[in-house]
Amino acid sequence: MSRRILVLGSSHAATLYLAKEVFAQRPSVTVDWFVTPANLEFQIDQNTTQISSPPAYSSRAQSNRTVVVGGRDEGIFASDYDAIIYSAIGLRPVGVLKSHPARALAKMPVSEGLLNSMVREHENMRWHRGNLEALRSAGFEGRVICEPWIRPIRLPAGMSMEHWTRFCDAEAQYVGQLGDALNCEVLPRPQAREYLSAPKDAANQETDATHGSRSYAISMVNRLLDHLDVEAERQTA
Amino acid sequence: MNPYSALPPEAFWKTGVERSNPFQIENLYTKKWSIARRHKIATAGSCFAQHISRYMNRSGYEVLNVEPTPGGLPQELAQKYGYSMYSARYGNIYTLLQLLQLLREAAGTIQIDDEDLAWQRPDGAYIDAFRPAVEPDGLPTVAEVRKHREYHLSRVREMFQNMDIFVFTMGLTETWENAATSLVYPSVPGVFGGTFDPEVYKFRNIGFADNLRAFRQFHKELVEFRGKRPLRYLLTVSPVPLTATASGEHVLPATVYSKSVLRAVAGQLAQDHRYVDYFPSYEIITNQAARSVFYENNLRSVRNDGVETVMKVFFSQHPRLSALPAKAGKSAEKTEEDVQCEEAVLEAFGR
Repeated sequence: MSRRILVLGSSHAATLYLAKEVFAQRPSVTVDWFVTPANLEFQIDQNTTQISSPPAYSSRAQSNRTVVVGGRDEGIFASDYDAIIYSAIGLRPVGVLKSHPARALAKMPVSEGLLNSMVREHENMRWHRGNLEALRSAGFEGRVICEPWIRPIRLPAGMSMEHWTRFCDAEAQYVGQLGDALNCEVLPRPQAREYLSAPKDAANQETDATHGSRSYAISMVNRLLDHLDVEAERQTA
Repeated sequence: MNPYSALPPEAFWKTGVERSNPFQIENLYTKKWSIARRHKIATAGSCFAQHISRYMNRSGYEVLNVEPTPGGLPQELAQKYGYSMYSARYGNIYTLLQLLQLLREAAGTIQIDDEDLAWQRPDGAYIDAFRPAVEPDGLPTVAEVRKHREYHLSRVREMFQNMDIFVFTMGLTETWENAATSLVYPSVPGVFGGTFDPEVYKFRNIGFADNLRAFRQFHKELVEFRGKRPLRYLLTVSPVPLTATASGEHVLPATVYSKSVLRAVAGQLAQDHRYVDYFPSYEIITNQAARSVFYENNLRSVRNDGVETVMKVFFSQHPRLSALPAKAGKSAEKTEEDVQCEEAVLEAFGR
């Protein structure tokens, strides 16, 4: 069965783009990318559902073509997609790293009640909800997979192991609330220890302190496709 | 010639009050000392102090916020969870005994057992008995309450260490005390959580001498905790009447008694110590010339123009260091309905 998938997101989606060949190994899948770099978040017009990004757009993942969902440019409609991989969780232009709930959680104990409120009412979440509602109102009826933020494989400079582990655990807690808040499926994600034990891709230019390495992206994409139950001639990357 | 003949107009009731404009009272307050931009101000106390805290913060003073609101959380939610009310997330501190107890707990000179700290609610969740409203949904375990409290105390320690001026609004003399441990609570067990057992919890109406002693002890222990580093206090008395009294008196004389004690304590402290100043927000709101115009229809909650009048007098002596931001106008419309008062919950028990 053929599938059409839209990968939509910012730098986190760009990290997935590192593993684009994995999609190629699954011929039944057609993938469209709309990826913006960090700090240049995409925008979905609530009326036309045209997805665009700011003028200064340039993607490190070089997937800078514009997908117009529900528009006419490429004849692709929201209803054509079987699934959307929404990979922008928690990300917002400048300052998000300071305001990201998980970062706050790492520094203080937070109750589940407050956490739920933070996830539901955080300005990022309101914005993401708006994006997803726009897609659904444009006729999209498929599955939405929220791909949570890929965390660093390496211990960020200046961060203690204890703090970093708390950060990851807090973020896992945070991500756990997303499905409800955004009415999407949350892709199962590895635990902090898996990041630590994952192979380091020192030579990979795309590896940085806030995203993932190529090998990690491959693992995530495989995980994602398995989640979608996509049949494939899966090969070891 | 007699001692009254040369007194200024404000020394006489007729000119000072009867013929005065309650929205613009002259010569009501003369500061003892100045507050500079470099001074770190901490705020705490009864719910009326939240107004003072907000206005000072918006006017360029450095009001400490050692437990800031998590980023992106809307203001109304932040307040619901006890953020942005005071310099730390301790909720309302209604009595001087409660304040002294907080210092001792933060400094580690007293330890509070789990059973005194965590009260269970009918739905099974637990609350921190000393700040019962900061987690509206409660916490799942006693251990979680302890964890949250330890974090909170670490922040309170930082505040006590770093503040230069402590703005404290005294609110109540009535409190509930654990007969065995002498711990005092901001709300009676059975309201937000816990179970009221008359053998365990005793009503206490803290009198003048005990209030005075509590403040002096607080100051002594605080200076010790700060390694002798001095600080100053700006005291106020909340003009918000009691929601309910457990004294057995009518609520009106109970309120007058309570406020009179607190006002006398503040006055005594300001007379005795150069490092204590008293700011008469209580008098501005309760001024007979205002004919209760500063109160909402419930005659308890202070209206916005009352708060503004109070702050106008305050800023006449401690000038704004920066203009109020545009949004302050909207926020300034807030009344006591928008401040968090655990005590107000007692109203629900009235018949």
